[in-house]
Amino acid sequence: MCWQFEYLKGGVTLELDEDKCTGCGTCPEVCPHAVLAKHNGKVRIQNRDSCMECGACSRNCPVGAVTVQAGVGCATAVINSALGRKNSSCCCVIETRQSGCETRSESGITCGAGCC
Amino acid sequence: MIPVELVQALKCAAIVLPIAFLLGGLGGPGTFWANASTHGLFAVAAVIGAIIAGAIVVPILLPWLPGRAFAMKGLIPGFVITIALLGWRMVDWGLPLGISETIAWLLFVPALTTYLAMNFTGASTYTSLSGVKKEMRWSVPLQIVGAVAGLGLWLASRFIS
Repeated sequence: MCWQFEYLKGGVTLELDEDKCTGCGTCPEVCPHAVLAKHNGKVRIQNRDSCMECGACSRNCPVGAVTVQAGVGCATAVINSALGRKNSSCCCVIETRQSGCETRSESGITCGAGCC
Repeated sequence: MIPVELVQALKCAAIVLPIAFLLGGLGGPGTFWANASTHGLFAVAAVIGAIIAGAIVVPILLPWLPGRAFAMKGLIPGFVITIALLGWRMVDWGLPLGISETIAWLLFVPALTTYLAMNFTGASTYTSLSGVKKEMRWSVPLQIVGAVAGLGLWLASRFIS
């Protein structure tokens, strides 16, 4: 049995500038949840609510047509950040996934529940 | 992921459980230790029940629990475990249970369960940062109110009854 998990409706920060999009198809290729799809030579957002804001699309878009405020959907990370904890067991920086995940990979910490 | 969340919760529980046990000794008709060994022990059971519901039951039943927000998914297991604990207390423990204490546990345990369920967002593969923030804007204040009101009501009931 397979479930299609979807988080909250609306609120996802994913944006696609169709004028800038060249239709190269990289973003649908790297998207883990098939949020983006290519139709008639152009990419469009077909399943916004499935977006987990991982940032793979925006980081791989060669023309900057896709933007998203990437981060880790982790309540503990949000709490740690709000409390100003820098070196807690939660290794991620929530503001940008870029800095958070680079830190994570460098430290070699594995993340799970209670972490991110 | 359940053991990871469980370890995190148990770290906090190591501090909370002795406090809950000792708070149970306050008020009531008997001696401090007699009260602690009954009401305090039930408070310990309630906290452990909340951890089991939030850190084990919610992740196992995640696809079937109603609501998209993780905190919401913790609500039903929280209420079910509270009712089960209160039933167990009435049947097997023989402890008197007033309305204010019943309400207190119905506020406190689900507050804790929904918080632990919300923390499981970090282990899921489909939650987004903006979604988590959106969820936390309404759930965290409710969890704080529920926990504080529940705790206050429980302590008050120990002195009033």
